[in-house]
Amino acid sequence: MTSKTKEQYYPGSILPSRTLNWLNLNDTNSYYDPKRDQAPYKDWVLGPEGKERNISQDLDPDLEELLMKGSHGISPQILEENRDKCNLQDYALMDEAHFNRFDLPLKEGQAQLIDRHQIRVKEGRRAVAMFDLHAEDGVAGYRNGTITIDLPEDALLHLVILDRLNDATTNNLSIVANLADGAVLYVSHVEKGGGKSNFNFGCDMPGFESLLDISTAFLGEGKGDLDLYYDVNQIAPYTDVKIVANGALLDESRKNFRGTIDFKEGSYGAVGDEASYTILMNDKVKDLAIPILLCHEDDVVGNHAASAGQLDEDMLFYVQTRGIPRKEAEGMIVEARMVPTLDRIPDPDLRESLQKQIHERIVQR
Amino acid sequence: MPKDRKRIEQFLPYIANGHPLTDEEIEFRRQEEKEARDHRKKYDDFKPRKKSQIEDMERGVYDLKNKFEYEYKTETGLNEEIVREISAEKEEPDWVLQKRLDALKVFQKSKNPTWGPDLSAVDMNKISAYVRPKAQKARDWKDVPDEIRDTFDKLGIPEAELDYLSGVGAQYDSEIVYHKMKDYLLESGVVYTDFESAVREYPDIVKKYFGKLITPQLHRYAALHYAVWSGGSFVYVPKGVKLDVPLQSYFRLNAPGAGQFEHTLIIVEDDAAVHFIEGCSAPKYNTLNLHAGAVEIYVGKNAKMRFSTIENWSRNMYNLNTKRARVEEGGKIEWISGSFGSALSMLYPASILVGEGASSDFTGITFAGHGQYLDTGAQAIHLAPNTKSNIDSKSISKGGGVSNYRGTVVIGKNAAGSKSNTNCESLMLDADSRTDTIPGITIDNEDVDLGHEAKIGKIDEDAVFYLMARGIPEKEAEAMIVRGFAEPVARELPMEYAVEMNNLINLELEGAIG
Repeated sequence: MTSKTKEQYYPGSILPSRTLNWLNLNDTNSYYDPKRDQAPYKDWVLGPEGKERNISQDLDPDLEELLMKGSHGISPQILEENRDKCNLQDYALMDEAHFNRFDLPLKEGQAQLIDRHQIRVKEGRRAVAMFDLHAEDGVAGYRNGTITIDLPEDALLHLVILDRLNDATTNNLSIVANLADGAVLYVSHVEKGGGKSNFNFGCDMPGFESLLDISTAFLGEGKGDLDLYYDVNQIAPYTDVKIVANGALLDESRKNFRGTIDFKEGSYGAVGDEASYTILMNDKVKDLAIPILLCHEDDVVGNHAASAGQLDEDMLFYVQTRGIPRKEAEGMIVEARMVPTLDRIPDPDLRESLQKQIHERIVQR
Repeated sequence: MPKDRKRIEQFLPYIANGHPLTDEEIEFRRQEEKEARDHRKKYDDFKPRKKSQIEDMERGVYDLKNKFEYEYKTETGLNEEIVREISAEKEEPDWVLQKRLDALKVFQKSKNPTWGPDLSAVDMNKISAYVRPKAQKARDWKDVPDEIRDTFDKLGIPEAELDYLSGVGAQYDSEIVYHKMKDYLLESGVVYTDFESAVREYPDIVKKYFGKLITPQLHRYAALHYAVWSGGSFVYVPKGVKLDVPLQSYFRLNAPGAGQFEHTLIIVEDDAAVHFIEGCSAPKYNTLNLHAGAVEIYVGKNAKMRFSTIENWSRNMYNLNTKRARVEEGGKIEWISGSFGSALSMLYPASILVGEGASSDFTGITFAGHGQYLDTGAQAIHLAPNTKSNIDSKSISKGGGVSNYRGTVVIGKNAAGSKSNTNCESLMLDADSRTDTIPGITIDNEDVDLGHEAKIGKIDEDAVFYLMARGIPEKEAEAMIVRGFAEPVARELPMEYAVEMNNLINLELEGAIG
């Protein structure tokens, strides 16, 4: 799992509150390579066409500081690599109904993406940003991405992250967010395709009544290794956090849910929920979870849950009695787990195609 | 009040569909929201949720101090010379001394853990590893020296012995001073004696099991334990013997600046059953006191073992105890654990389920008051098919105390058909305190049914009613339906002085998180 012999092991996403070392839950392999070269990345699309937007190649220094000087991000080395070898960067100041859709392919000729995005939504405005990373078959890709988000008062951002990897791709994604009074951040996140993926989500909530809702749907395939790391600091009163990871593991994949919700002193009235639900579809998969609740404030509501098991036989039987073959039924049930996240994707065609891909993958296993 | 999720989720898909609102309308909407929120901020009338109120534990009797008189005491610190001294004082055979020296080497190379509370204050140079009180081991309570007997009398031990227990062991500082067993037990072949005697009288059994479940390599304080262990109990229950009254040991540390390193080894053979109760306390001093004991339990095929502890060490104690049980096919272990005392505790009773159908049930209460840091939890390690584990833990913190739950559930490759359920509740009684829940779960086999308080959907009310109509209490009925298994267990302790703890176990913690 972690090779400490030949290659040097660079730990990433270290838990803010660590635990027993032999559980191997304290950190993840960040796949950092000091010898990695800079590479060009030219072919990508910002859609949808015709949408007016305010986006520039010059990064905002405040958001830079939020990313580099804060306590979030996969690791200092990964953040430095992201800054020094960046081949795609932008700062978007989003207004009402703006929709920035980044289509980021990894293919022959551009297998390395080191992207640095900054998003700020104007006060009281609501916007959508989507980052669709997809790797073509056979391409050994590497992605090191950061997305820094600043939401001032009453701003709302719907962030959609699609990581559609292949078996040979490595993905490091660090998201850092800061929510002011009344700000709302919805994250819809889909992980599939195998490959090694480190998803690191760090958020500070100094905003009174700010809200964070993360819905992750994952499908572990091949020898995929997925690390889902969430670190949320609920600082102000009445903050509301909900983190749900729902999905299935096939083949020999592995997934690690490491969520931390920290109720800081003074966050009275706060609500924080985190849950990880996994369907295990093969005896070689490995599911790990450590949903941590840290609490320094007595008048809060904190819930955590983790559940893992096989497909419900009763449910399968019920569906089969309606004439649906078993594999189809299995596909339907796994898909049903992931639909709450998929339904949030703002593009209906993309949503349908993803649902179909997931369904086919289960039916043909 | 927080934002309205339902409304947001309704318009979420339509944000990008263009905006019919003008800039002025958007500004107006924003001003409205901001004003409403500023108003809420200004006139914030937050009503704290209803919470169960729990009073501080009365230490009273536990804090009695006796004049410190001893027969023999080692110097503070730890080195080979001291270990040899201890061994010589106890007149131990060579193999025991060798084990001590091997463990000492491991200890000297070891380091404190990189997680959990800060253990840098635990300095062996401030601790005297071995203190022998002025008392020879007595079989008759009358023969125990007055002061010592007095202390235990006040704690209610011998009285309880007459009424409830099969046998009692009382350890004062580093030595067992009283060990008695009801005669009928002797006839059925049950062995309940102090550990030193066991080493002398049953060396074959002891050699086979001692130090094999908890090894010096496990962690630093296990290594320390094996270097300087003294006292403790040895229990051997032969095949098929079912004890219907509990055995009890009580450890009391009286000497300031001393360490308590008792070793308890319990072997329950196939088809046997026993309930073992352990109580620990020490009065408060201003010096450092360390408890690094070890409990090794072997549960045979289809055997049943219940291990109840009340740890009520004084508020200057560092309690770094290790408890581990190995459960064979069809065997069952029940842990009932109450942690109230000590300045700092790190205690994680572990059940290792190696036989098919083995099961483990853990009920724990931790109460941390002012100046206490209690990091406790439970471990369930499933290494065989169709094993079951259930963990029920309550952590309470008050007045600046820190009470953490650190749980571990491991489902190994060969543990197909296993089920595991964890329920952890944490109650903070004020904002000065702190309580963290850190449950670690690793699963290596697909055929498993694991829930960490995950109630998937609503529980069918009709099914709950059906079960309750058959006399099953509501909580148990719910557990049965959610996870498909649950054995109603009477989790009470038979002791009078354990009344408080029983109350806490049964208390439904309102206002808890987790």
